Amino acid sequence: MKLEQFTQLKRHAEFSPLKGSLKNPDISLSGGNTLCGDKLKIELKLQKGIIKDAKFTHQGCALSGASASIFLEYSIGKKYKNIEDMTPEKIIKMLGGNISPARIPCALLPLALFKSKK
Amino acid sequence: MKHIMNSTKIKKDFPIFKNHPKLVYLDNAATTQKPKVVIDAVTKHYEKNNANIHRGIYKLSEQAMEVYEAARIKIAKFIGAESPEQIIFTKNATEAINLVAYSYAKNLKASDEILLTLMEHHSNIVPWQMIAKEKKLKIKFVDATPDGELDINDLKKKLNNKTKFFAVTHASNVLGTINPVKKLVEICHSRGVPVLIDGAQAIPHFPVNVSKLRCDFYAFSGHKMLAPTGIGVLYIGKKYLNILPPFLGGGDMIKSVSMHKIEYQDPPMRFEAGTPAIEAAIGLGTAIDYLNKISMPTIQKHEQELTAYALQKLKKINGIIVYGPRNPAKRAGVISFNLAGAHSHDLASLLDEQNIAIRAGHHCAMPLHQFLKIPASARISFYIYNTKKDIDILCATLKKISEKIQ
Repeated sequence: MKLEQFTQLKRHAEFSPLKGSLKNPDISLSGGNTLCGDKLKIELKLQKGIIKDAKFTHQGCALSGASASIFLEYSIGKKYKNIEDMTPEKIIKMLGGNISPARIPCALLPLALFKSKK
Repeated sequence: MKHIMNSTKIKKDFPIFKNHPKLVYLDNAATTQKPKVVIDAVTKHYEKNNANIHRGIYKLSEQAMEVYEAARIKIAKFIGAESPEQIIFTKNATEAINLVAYSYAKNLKASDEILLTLMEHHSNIVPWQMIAKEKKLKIKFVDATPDGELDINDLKKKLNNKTKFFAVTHASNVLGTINPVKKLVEICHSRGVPVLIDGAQAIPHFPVNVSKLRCDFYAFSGHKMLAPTGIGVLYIGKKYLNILPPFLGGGDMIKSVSMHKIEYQDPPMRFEAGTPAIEAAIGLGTAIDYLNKISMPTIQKHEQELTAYALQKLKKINGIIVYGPRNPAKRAGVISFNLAGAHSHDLASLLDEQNIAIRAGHHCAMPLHQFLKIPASARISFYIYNTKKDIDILCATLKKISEKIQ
């Protein structure tokens, strides 16, 4: 991971406008990666199956935090059902690529939470 | 005996550094690189001496046996064991500890207590937890002090007449703390409690004499001391050598088998079921020859100098927190740290970009990280081919990262 990519990911993770929590969320997903201590909570507000609002709280590496931010930003306005079918390749592309195999679990943590709800 | 070590010269003995000239390898606590002589010893076995050992009545098998058993004798001498029969070959330190946990616990009963410490590697926690569940034993943990040393007063407090075993690491793979194991053995033996020492991070790095330590069991891995993976050693003290029940059953560890009766071999064979990693044991013997040529006191001095240098340089980088004893004399060449504002996984990825190999995560020591109240840490660990230049390159990169994010 290059330093420039890291600082951008860190900015996403720390200063995302989607950080926080929702009042009475329709869907609440939480989990983490016990191997590195990453913890993530995602809350969604739906309207007729479409994600109207999303917020996340995160503790851990910049990659998983940035992934949550970028993924949720992408998800707002889209059907919840379609988000569950999102592919790992698309997420990695959204994160700028260049992610080593050992870091894939960090990058895909938000997606893993969505899929665990299925 | 050489007292001055030239790490730059030593590095030339390791083919991996020819293949990766820019590699700054600082993950020796995970595994060590292999000198050409060890690689050649393994190749030679397969090209010239390969046969199964112990039962062959032909020259090739007898030659293989000779080299294999010579490795056992070398190991006994290297660690100060009284006789080679006390040296049991296992797969690694983890298997060695599992052997003791499983075999020793056969004679324990419900409510008996096993004492461990907070700074143990999972290999010296999980086997005990597994057997404790099966036999309804109680596990207690000796605390660490805020400075990352073992709390000996807490050990004395937690030892009681239900304590049946104490297992402790000689050198922590996270904090680098070298525990005063001779003293710990004395305290435990005065209470009739046997002791296992996990020497995985100790034996490769400084002189150890198990007879002088008087420990009952001592475990270590070959791959952390220039030898191949797949070979480890369990030393068993004379008191338990002939009474410890076997662990794995199968060929080689029996004198006779009938439909209704088994007669076990004497040690060490009793504990070595099946065909061992013959070439890896031979590789370990060769690794010990290589280490002895440099001398263990010289290696210890070299690592102490690197550790002191690294601690001093890391202290000057804004945002760095180092864990473990502040006094380098109390540490092995392992330093875990964090950089404020960067999770250790991100740090490892950033360093990897500069060909610097460190480890990040919990290092198979989750209870210790819970005690330190951190989810993960970055770790550097030294060996004979590391130089001050490696530390300079590491610290220059850390400084650059720190300046960008602090």
